[in-house]
Amino acid sequence: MFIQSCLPKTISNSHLIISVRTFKRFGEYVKSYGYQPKHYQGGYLPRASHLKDPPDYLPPFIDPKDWTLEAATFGQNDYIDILGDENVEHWQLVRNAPFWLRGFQGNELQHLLRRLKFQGKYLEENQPQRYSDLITRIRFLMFKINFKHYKRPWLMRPTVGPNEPLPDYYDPRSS
Amino acid sequence: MIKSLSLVKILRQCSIRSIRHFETSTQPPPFSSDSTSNPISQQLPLIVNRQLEYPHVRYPPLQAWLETLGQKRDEKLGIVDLHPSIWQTSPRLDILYENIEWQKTYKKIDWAYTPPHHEYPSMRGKPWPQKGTGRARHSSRYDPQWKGGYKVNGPKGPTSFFYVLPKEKRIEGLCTALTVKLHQNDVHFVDSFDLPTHQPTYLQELTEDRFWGPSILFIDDTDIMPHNMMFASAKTEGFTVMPVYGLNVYSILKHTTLVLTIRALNKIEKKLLHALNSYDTQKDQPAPPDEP
Repeated sequence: MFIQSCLPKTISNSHLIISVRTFKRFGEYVKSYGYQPKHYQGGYLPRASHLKDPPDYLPPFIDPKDWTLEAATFGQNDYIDILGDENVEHWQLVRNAPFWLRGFQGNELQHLLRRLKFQGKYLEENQPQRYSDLITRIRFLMFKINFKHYKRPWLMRPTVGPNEPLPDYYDPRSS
Repeated sequence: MIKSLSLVKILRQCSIRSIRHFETSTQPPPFSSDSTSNPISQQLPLIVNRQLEYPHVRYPPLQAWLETLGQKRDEKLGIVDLHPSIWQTSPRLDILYENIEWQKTYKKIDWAYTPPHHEYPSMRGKPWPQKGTGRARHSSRYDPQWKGGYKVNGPKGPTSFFYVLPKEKRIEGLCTALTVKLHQNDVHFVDSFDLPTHQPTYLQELTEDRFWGPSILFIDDTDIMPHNMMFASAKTEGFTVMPVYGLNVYSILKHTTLVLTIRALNKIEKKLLHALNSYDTQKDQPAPPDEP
């Protein structure tokens, strides 16, 4: 005799019906009579303490706190140039920046060269590993920018030095 | 044009002492008969004489109520004239957006750093021979495809996003923010910040009765404020007190209402009108010192 399966049903739109042949014994349907499973059939096991497998927690909730003093007075003195003292400059208002980046913006190579200019001597004597990392990174970037990526010569514009006069016209045939 | 009244004569009878700083005219008061005893309850709303610099060619001055914080009852003391170049500009929302983005980003420092390959422990040595083992071929243990390996084009070091928005755009942003606030009924003018008590509940109930919004930005002309005001604003969430030079577009839009004193208004108008009507070339901000 065929009955519908007692397996856990999944939510699906298929009309598949699984039928399993069983027999009735003492008022109950029995499946796989005489089968003695050898696998563990108990509940969940405790976490193995000798293994380095800590549980993965959600990150802690950081309350945004829109009305702390810092958040409420954000951008407070940005217009001091207009509404107050004219001599205040905006690079003086940046407080959380490293001293070689106050009022400076550029790409990565420019950042590193500026850091070298400001902190090179100190690092060379006191923090040699950091100095070495800095100059290797600079050398890598200089090589990459100047030699690595192929530049299409028909798109390169002719460059003019700082003291040379500008040409009257631009010849696209010039390399 | 509206005739001006002499405030000094009428308000001597008032108990409010802070209106002495207004500019007054010397003409005789035509409505002097109305100034009787108990002036706050009986006198009509007055017109405060404010002389505007650089009067606008097309538009007459705007008008707004002058209110008090000295008493809970919402009584208007007078009418204030406002300059249309600041308070009636056509709102440039794109410049507002640029101002806000500038304020957010120019102080930002991104500290994210992924060490490159030469900062990793040991790059020499194959983990296992090229052939023989059934595993994939690798040259080093810290390649990017490995777990715990270096990242190729990741963020490198503290990066700064510093730039300064041109002065004209910042001025236009301020004017736009102020016009928008005024025409949405979120700006209130007050004679001064002298409160009768230091209890914060006084100010909270006052603002609730007048529907002044959950967050208020109080602006006075100097850094030094009366003690009662400072105490009340420090204890309530959403009340911030600033001097005139601290005014900025981000704070104007963050707080629902603006409350200005007359002295602050005078200072703001003076500075902004001078900036709007002067033909000075933009003084390039001198770069920060290059010498370490």
